[in-house]
Amino acid sequence: MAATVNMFNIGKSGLMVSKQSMTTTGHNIANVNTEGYSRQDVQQTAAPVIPNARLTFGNGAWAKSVTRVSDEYLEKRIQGEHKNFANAEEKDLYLHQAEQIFNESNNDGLNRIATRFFNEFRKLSSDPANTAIRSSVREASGQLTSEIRRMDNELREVSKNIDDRLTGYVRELNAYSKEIADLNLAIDKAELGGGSAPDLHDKRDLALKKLGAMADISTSRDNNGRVTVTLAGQVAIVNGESVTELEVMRSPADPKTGKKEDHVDLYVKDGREIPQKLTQILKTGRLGALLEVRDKDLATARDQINKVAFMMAKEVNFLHEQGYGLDGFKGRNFFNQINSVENAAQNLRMTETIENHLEAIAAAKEPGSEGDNRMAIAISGVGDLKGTGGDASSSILDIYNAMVSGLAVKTQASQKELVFQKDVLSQLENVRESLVGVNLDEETANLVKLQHAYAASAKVLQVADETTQEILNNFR
Amino acid sequence: MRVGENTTLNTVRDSLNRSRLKMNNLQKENSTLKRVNSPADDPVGNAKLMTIRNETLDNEQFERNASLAKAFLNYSDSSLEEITNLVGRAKELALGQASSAANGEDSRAMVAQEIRNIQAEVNSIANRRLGARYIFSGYKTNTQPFDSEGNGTYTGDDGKIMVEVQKDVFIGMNVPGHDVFLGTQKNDVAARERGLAAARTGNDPGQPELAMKQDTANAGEDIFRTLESLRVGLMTNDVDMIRSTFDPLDKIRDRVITTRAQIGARMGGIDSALANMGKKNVFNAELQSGIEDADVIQVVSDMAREESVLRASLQASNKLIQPTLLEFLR
Repeated sequence: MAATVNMFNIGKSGLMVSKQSMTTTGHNIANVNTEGYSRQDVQQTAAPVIPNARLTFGNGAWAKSVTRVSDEYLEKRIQGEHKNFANAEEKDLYLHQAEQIFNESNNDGLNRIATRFFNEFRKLSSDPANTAIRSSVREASGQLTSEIRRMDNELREVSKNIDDRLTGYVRELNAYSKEIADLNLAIDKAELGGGSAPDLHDKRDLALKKLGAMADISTSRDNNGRVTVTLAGQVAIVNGESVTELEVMRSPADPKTGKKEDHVDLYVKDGREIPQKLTQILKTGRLGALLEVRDKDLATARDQINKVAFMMAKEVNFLHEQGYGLDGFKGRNFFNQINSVENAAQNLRMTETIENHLEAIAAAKEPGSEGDNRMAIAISGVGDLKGTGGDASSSILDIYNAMVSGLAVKTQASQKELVFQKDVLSQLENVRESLVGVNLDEETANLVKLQHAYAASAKVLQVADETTQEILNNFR
Repeated sequence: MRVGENTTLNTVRDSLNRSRLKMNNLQKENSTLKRVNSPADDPVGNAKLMTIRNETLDNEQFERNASLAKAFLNYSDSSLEEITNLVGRAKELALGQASSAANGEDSRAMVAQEIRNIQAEVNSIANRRLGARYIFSGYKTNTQPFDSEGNGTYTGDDGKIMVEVQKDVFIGMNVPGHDVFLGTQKNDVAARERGLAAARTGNDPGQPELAMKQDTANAGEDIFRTLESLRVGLMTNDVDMIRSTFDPLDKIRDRVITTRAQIGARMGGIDSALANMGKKNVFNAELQSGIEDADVIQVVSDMAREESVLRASLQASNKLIQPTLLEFLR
């Protein structure tokens, strides 16, 4: 009799296990497109058996646990490559923007405008008393100064955009830290009774991946399996269930680091009196990329533009001041006097005298000679003057050209890097998909298999029922 | 190896993306016909391009300068040619009147009138303008170089207007008037004027010769004064005075011819600068095109190839995405 009763139990356990497996399969199918989802498996074993004296029968099946398929090493690699990819992506975005500012490819940039400026002086040298030429000298210098200002303004604008983006990313980073800490707690609770929480693990892995894209992080697990996240090897931003938030503060201009305007810096309070500045130690990920572009590439570009403006004013004024205008006066500047390289691009303007009096443009070396073109010739040569570009063999325009070339090299490198990182990442993602991803065919096949198992278990119940009926009917 | 659902889709997506990106780049090359559309497309090439463009812009200005200088020099040259002819004519007339036997006072007075005309013509040539600018007044292009009365008082300066006709190649586009007409440097002008004043007093029948002779040593090649003393000689029927102008007239002619030779040399210089620039421009245009122009045939054939790749991957994805086991379980 025991055997018949046991058959009911076995049939029931078969139905249960099949149903649980079908549920999991359904869960897998439902999550086929969920980001970061790992396929789950029901670990099914034979139910425990109470050993009997002579004949031991099985007790049916038992679903031991639901586990997710995962590879921690692979997840870490993906996290690392994701960081590199994110880094390349940000760099590419902003370097490309900066490069566009210089507009050098459609032959419309500063290079052409500055060359035109000096050529106007050359033209003036061929007919120094000509008012039409004088006014085109003035027009060309107006274009030159406004172009230099425009470039400086736009570079500044890109820096400001980066500041905004930094602020946004820090907010995101804090949100991920919070999410990870919350999940630490949730997983801890869920697994307290020896259970498993595969979906929560997936979520935490995903949050870690996204957090890892922001900056250089390292992770470790404590005894309870809770994740600790350390930023740049220094600051523990997630520790079990507690979070240390990063903060964004505006810093004033700092001539030591070469930053012209107020800019955003990243800090962490970390229980200290004085917040610790993180700007210099973040080198990788999205934050690292943004800081590098802002503090290195854009800062250099602006420095060079300022240098160009400063040298332009200095060298042109030096000559112009010695020359005589058509009115026979000397000692006048062409551009406003600029005393320091800092902000030179913004300060480069024609003097009011030149702006309002064409005859004040000095083409002559001696007074009273309308045809004297020596100063115009001298000024027309300033653009090619060696030794004005920082070393003995380079000219003012070389400063600019070298800067544009440098930026172009970096932009090209970042484009290549982006393509490369994208390939690396998608290869790794494919490996991950092949390991933990959901395959609908496989799940469908499983479903069919489980359906059969379910039907067979139902059959077991039917047989058990019929045999029991048989006995019951005989004794009626 | 297991192939996850997303593996397939990612592969399809990536390969389509890649194809479309390539197509997009090729499309850009095709529509601009340029290979370098931003500095990052070819940083090294772009640096060279920037230099080439500067050179091209500079050369355009140099060419304008050169053609202006040529116009100036041409005009100076043809003016001096007229001067040569006039001086030759004056010498001819002087020779004709130099023998005391052949000519009388009347004929000399008539010839003196012709010299008067020559003087006027010389004066008008010396004060010629190109556009608004006097060609013989040095830097003082707005100032008439010689006085209108024909005294030969020079109010220009000795400015040589240099223009850049090729990078770092400067050529003088003018001939300061005192050099060619007076044969003096600017700082001699004062002395010359003193001498001229003395010559002028020669109109006074008292001591023309004395006054002339006082100054012959350092101002004998002054065209105005030489013609004036020839005229005075003719008027006063002074054969010696007429004869004394032979040598200066020859020297003046030589000097004008030498100046014209110099002008010719400068024009040659301008022409060779222009030729150099022309060659350089062609070379630069080739270089520029080599760096930035797209190879049209290459682009078009690349596009055709890329399009077939795109089609193929679209077709493949059609096969990959469609069937699942479910379709066969019905």
